Amino acid sequence: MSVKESLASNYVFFRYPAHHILIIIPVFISTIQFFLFNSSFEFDRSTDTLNTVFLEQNELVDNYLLVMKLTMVIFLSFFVTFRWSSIIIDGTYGYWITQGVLRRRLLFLTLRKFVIDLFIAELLGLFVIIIVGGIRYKPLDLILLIILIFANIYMIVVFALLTANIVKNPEFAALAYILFLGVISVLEISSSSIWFKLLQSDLQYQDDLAFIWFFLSIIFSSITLIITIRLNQAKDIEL
Amino acid sequence: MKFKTLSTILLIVSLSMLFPQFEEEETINIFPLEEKSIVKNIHSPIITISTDIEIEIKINITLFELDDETIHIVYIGKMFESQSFEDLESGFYKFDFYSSNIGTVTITGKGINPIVIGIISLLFLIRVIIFINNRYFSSLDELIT
Repeated sequence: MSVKESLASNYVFFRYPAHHILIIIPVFISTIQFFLFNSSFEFDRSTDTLNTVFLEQNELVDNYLLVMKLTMVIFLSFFVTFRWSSIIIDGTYGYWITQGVLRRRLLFLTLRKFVIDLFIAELLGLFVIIIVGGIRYKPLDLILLIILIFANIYMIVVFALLTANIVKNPEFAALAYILFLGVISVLEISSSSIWFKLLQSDLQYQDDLAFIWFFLSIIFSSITLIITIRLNQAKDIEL
Repeated sequence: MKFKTLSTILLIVSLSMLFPQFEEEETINIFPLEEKSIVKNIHSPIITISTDIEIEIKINITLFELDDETIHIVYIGKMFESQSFEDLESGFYKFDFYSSNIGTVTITGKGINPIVIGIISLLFLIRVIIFINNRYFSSLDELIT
């Protein structure tokens, strides 16, 4: 059992009430925007009403996912990127390594905890907008949406760890992470290149190829994770 | 994560279900002999439609059931001055207005869903039970064991 790694991960990343803030605040921000900026619209009699309403609902859910992702990126830039690069500099990481903590296991545990926290947060938000907001999907679409959300959160956290391992300065690492993922999330999807679809995989839930995007996203994130682990193992750390 | 922290988090998150209370009202301009259709996402169980037109106007209200792709008719008929509809489920509603006079119509939502009140009170009850258990009965556990 990885008791030491769990202790180290808790000490370094979850000493502050990170769990609670990470779950509660994104849900609050995204549900507030969902309820307050929800507009009505008019249409002619000639248009296909059911289809128009369906598109409007998709737009609302897309906005919810976008705001949720931006909030999570801003939080992760501090809680993962900034913390991870600063523990390498200030000697905490070196101390834990002298205590017999394995680098790979520490990284995996941290990844797992953050992914579970953010996944719970996004599911709770989705639950709120389904119950109160009146969003309706067929069960299969809903399952697709949930697994794509999982894939996207996995990718976001892996990218946070990757940035922390590439950029040395903690402030610059956090800034680079916010700029990179912020720009990717805000960009229009109509450019329809494979890279954008891969990086914005949570918005592909209406696509016929949603399952393929899910698997591609998971594979892409796993390759990035392996690169991150290699970079992390190769780092010189003061003990 | 402990069950105690989880219940606290769920309680705080469920409070965000109360935001639709602050739903603003919407005013629509109506021109004579011209049907006006508007689609609105309603979160409140009670909506009130009021108008300043001094004659009867025709209204249709339909709910879109997007999960099985059908349309559910809530109300078809005429109204005068104001009318309220209760026990509505949240979702996308289409309002059609038709009048032979010019004027405005206001749609106002109010009230809280009974499901929301149920969820919040249930979570609050669980939290209170945990609090009482820790506060008054933890010493009893030590005595027994």
